[in-house]
Amino acid sequence: MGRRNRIGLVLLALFLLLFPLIGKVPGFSHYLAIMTVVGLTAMISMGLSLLMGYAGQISLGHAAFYGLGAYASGILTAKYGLNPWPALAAGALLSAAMAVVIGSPSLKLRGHYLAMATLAFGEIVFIIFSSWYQLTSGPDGFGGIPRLSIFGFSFDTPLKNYYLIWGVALLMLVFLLNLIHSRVGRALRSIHGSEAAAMAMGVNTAWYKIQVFIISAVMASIAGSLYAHYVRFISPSVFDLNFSIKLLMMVVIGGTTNVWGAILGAALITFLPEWLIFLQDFDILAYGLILLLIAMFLPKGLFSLPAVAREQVRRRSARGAR
Amino acid sequence: MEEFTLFNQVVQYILTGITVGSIYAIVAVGFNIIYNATEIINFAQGEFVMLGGLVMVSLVHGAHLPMPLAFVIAVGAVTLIGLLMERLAIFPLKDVSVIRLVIITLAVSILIKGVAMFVWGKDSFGLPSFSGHQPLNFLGAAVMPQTLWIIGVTVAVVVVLTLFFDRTMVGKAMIACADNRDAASLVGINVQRMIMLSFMLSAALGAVAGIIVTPVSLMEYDRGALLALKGFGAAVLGGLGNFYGAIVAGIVLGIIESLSAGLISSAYKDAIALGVLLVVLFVKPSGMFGSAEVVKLKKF
Amino acid sequence: MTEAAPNHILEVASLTKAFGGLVAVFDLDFTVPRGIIKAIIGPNGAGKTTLFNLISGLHPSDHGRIVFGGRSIAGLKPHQVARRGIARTFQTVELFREMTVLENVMVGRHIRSRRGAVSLGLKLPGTRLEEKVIRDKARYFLDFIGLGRKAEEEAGGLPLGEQKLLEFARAMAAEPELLLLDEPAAGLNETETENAAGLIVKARETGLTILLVEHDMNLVMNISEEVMVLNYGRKIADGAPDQVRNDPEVINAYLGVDVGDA
Repeated sequence: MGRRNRIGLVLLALFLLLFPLIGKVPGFSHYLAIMTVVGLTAMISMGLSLLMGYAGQISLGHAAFYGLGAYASGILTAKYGLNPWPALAAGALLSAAMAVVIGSPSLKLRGHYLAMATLAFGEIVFIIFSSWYQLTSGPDGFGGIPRLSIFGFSFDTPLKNYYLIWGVALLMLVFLLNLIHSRVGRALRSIHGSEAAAMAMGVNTAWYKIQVFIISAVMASIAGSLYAHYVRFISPSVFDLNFSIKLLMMVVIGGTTNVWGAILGAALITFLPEWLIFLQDFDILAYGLILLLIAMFLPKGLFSLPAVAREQVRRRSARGAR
Repeated sequence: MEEFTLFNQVVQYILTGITVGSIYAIVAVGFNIIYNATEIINFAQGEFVMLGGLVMVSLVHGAHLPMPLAFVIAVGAVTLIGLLMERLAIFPLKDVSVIRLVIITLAVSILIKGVAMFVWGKDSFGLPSFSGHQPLNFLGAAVMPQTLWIIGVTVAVVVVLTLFFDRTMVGKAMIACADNRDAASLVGINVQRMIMLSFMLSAALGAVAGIIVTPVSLMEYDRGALLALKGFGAAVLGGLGNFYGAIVAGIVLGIIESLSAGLISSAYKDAIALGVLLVVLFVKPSGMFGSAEVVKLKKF
Repeated sequence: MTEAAPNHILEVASLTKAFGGLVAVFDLDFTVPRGIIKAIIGPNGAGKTTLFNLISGLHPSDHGRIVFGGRSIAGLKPHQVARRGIARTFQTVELFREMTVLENVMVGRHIRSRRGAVSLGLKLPGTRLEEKVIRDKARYFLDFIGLGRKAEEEAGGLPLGEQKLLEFARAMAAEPELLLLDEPAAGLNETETENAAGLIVKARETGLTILLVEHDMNLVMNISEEVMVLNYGRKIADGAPDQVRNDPEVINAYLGVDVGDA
């Protein structure tokens, strides 16, 4: 996967290992919880960046897969007493199936159509979460979701959940990095580069697009399941359009073709309310503005900032030299 | 005492459906106008509707202006916002990839929603009915006079737009642009200006829709997204870019939604309306009146 | 139609394609013997690129048969056609601009490799070996066209001549049986064209059959064994270069254009 990525992995793992120490600093004790949420959202945003950056597709409904995983795990464990791990698998399977149902026809559509289809899908799922009272307890949500445990070891403290969630996130990162630097990764990038040429080289573009859509949906679903067992109480309000848009922002800010960027984006967007706390409800104004500015001036995301800055400097000095 | 039979109920639902559908139709036409000129789907279309309603509310309740004057000013104000959006967020772009445009129009819609929340808060606001509250009787169903206004304004919009696109130079120029941008610019049509006009026209239409629906269903800062989705659904159902198709499809969608709400479940009515959108996108993206070949040839 | 002769790699019969009211290709019949270089020429808009798009599966035909290696390929999707052994280049160079030069050629090896997402993501045993083979083979084809030293450069930054060479290497990397070259010399200067011609001949010597669309008559006449002429979607000549060059109907179609040294 390249030396840079390996070094990045080690550094990130080290950083995450030591991060909980910040919880000891007065005033920052809640940072551990925020960082745990960053881990969950990073799982989703990484998958989304794969979808957007490499398959060139856009999804405005990924909160729905997050929700499907959460509700599947929550309902099966809290209401039916199923063991959490098969429940997680069931959620992932459900999300994969939904991805096929929504994705296959959508991926034949282009650009705007897919955006709208995923938007509609997300809204429909949200409405179902809020309205199917018997199954989901409606807009008030439900609690009593058990903790996760492996072989008797229970993840019952915030710190254990933090390490579990980031452990899974890092595994997913390794998987994606392996994938990107492989034949499949090249096939995906080729679709992005020139779909006609990719097809001419034997790349089954439709199959790859749906594969990526499924992978991104399953990643979001697993994150949702982990979320349910972490907070132990879920309600529909988390899985709404606003969250889907935040996910989109994470990918855009980080740079769509960069898995690391997705993680950075997840961190920034998740911590943003913390730093914008003075704005209260008006944080959506900030989100809209940031999204607009980045989309207009830094379309390749923050990671491209050094390159863009270098280009600006080069242009100015060329003009000056004349 | 007259019996309120199933027939009466269905008539009621259909009337409600036509009312709601008219709004979707106008929003759909707004989508089509921008799409035809630019091949962009403007995610902020719904926000124009929301703004039209809320600005009107402020002018009528806040500044106590007479309705007709407030109407003109409100539409003008939102048109200006449409102009600003085009000039500041669309015009400067050099690389126009689909993802980027989706994100930009989405970002603008979020921004507008944020400003609206800042200005008007999260409450719902209403407007007085344009001509009183006395319901009329039609086939056993109660018809609010505002409903007639909505249908009437929609018809007027259709007539005015038809005349505009058929008889005026500007209108014909916009059609030329939509048909073949390069040819249009070769015969001297200022394509950039047509694009700007399309945003202004769409914004104006959205505002009109928002103003006429607020007396019936109130208006709040976050109504835009769902309206945009359903309006887009109507646009696709009628064949993206097809003017009359959008009108018909909007009404059809409104009726489907209303019948579902009444006969099946009102909680899921939005889900069903959006479900219709998904079905159309999956089965026949060219819509009821569009052509599949044309859909394949369009850039987006 | 008679039994397919085993030494014809491609047979096209009654091929027709119209776009709306415009007939691009009409009732086309021709064959391509194995191992030759055959050129397709004709005035602009004669349907040459459409023909390539029909063969490679980008468009479905309205009518007619396309038989490759004895099996029909009509109606197959482009990636399926590629798997059968046909590779192509494009008139407008369709490179993967943001990938490196070597990576572009490695994509050419896609159909010659097998590992899927799960085993690659998990880095199961065998994936590293397959990756090495892909890389080595890609490098071989890159060296074949002479761009080995630019392996790690971004493909989009190459000058046009090298971009066309890269597309050529990418197509060859698939180790096809039939190679479709769409205007390989368009936009190239004389030196580059000579170089390209040499490479095409060298490629043929490795056992490839080559079908090329071209406007550069010198190139066509110098390296082709057979030439087919299309005009308004119809075949008006098909045979040896000299034969075609002197065909009055061909000269007429090109009225005013230099046909070699005729």
